[in-house]
Amino acid sequence: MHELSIALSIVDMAQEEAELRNVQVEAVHLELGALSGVVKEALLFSYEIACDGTLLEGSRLVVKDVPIEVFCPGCGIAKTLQSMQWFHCPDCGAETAEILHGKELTITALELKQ
Amino acid sequence: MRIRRNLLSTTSVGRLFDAAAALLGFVQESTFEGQAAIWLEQQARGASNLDAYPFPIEGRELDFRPLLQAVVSDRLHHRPEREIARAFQRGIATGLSQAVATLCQSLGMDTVVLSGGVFQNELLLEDIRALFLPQGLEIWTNHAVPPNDGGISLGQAALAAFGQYNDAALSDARGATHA
Repeated sequence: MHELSIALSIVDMAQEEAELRNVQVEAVHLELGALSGVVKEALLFSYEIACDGTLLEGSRLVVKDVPIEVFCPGCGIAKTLQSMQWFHCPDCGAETAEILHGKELTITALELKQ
Repeated sequence: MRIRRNLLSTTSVGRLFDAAAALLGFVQESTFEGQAAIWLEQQARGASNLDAYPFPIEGRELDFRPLLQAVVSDRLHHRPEREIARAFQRGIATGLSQAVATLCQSLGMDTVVLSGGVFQNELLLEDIRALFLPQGLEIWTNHAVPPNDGGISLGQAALAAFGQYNDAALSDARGATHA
């Protein structure tokens, strides 16, 4: 997926919502997983140029990085991975491919102008 | 260009996008690969002109010089940057589709796989699809795996795994003949 296309649809969605509620958007909040396949810098840059000439011009994209969380079959609980190249429990070393978090690409909130 | 100093050869079409973006005024330092290309795509989205700059096939290669010359020339004539970006993208699409169509004809093929970072450019893909449609060519693009570095990593891992599998199969076969 391409960051510009993603940024364009984020702007579309936020604009639609802003028009519907007759408000002005100050910032769009987004959760971005480490496994989303999206490069954060590219998305931030794309967002800025995607906003040009729209109601969202000058607004910010606030990105919350979501780390990779897996279920460890050895420990029986969720664990956070340090590296996306190593799908093993950081504590017991058990292999795991059960991803609980890290694929997010989700708009979580719109911050409005007063 | 004749003095081969500070020059690197590349086969990446991304460098053409970088060059065109620079000629159109995108001269800031890039913080990630593809930044100039994203900027150029967004510029092109803002224009509706239908002309395409020339990107002709010379022998077995596409010649990018007329393409960049057209960008420079229109820039000097103060054509709006957006229109230049659009004509540049259409030029890339036209050149590529002509090259592919020629190859398909000579090889008797009708299915084309488009991959590589440049095909993250949705506008370029749209243009190419429109050009391929009347020729009856089927296009395959990336869906589950990214077309750029992520896909390359997966391919490398697959090749390594495949190599290991072959090595193992080979030694098994050898063991069998010795037994």
